[in-house]
Amino acid sequence: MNTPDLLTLYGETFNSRFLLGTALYRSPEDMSKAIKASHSEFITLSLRRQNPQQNEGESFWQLIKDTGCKLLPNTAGCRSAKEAINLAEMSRELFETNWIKLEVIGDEYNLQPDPFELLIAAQELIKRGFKVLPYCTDDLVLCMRLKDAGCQALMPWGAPIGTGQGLLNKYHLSALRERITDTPLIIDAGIRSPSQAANAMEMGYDAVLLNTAVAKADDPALMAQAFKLAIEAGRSAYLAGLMPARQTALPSTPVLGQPFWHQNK
Amino acid sequence: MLKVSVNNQLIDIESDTVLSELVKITGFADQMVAIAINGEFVPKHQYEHTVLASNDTIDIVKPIGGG
Repeated sequence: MNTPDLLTLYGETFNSRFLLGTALYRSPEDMSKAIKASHSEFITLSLRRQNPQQNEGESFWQLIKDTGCKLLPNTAGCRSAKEAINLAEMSRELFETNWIKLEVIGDEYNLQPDPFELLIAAQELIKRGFKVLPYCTDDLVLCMRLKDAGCQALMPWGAPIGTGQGLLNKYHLSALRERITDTPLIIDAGIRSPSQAANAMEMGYDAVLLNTAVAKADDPALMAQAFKLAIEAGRSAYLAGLMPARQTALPSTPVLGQPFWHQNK
Repeated sequence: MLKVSVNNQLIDIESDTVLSELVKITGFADQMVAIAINGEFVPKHQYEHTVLASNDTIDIVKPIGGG
């Protein structure tokens, strides 16, 4: 019997390599159906100010609980290490989990992570016992520093959040995978199509986290299923080992015995 | 009376009001919330002992979808 190919994060194993966000769906029903179709076991969510009269927080929470998925709260929107640390503490209390998707944004235009504040926040949260999954750029040295800080998984962007630009810098992403071999790498953000997710997995990435590509599809549940299949296909391709690429053509059909071919013609 | 900001709205409260009372006054009692005062997280077990001061900025948050 084959050994199951599990994703391991902070010593915890997951069957699915697809992490899904819970924002931007047209309806709560769309979200629930998409989560089910994705077979995700780990879903992201957040905290925001809301009026006490708004019942959305409560009904959202009920739907999330019904999925049975593990929760990955985020610190989306935080602009400093201090903000992110405090929001992480609020999430830990409310959701009763040490897991945190750490986001510290440094620029409004492309919502690029602030590497300096991110590292400070990661160091502090790990000291406080959090399991930190940092949303970071594809900068190799930043990723190495986050790893040194104790992050047992890293989540470099494919492209800025919500852009659907795919894997913008394949050189950086390949270098990351080449240099960081002992820590799970999850592509987070910028993915538009299942083929892009499959590509990331073929490159040896361990998992993919996305939200908009599913939530904004005409049929979110069908798109979630498509991503699930693509991520599995990409993972299988990586494990199977891709043939080396080459510049010159090489016939796949044997040349020996070719009819109509004569040496002296 | 003193003024505090709750989720960006100014409200008047009695002096010596503690956070657990503010949660009731603002309608968040029995709701799933987490709270920060002046940007600092306040754990639930401290609500009854946390006396609010004039111009305190209080954030009361609830679960929402996120990516």
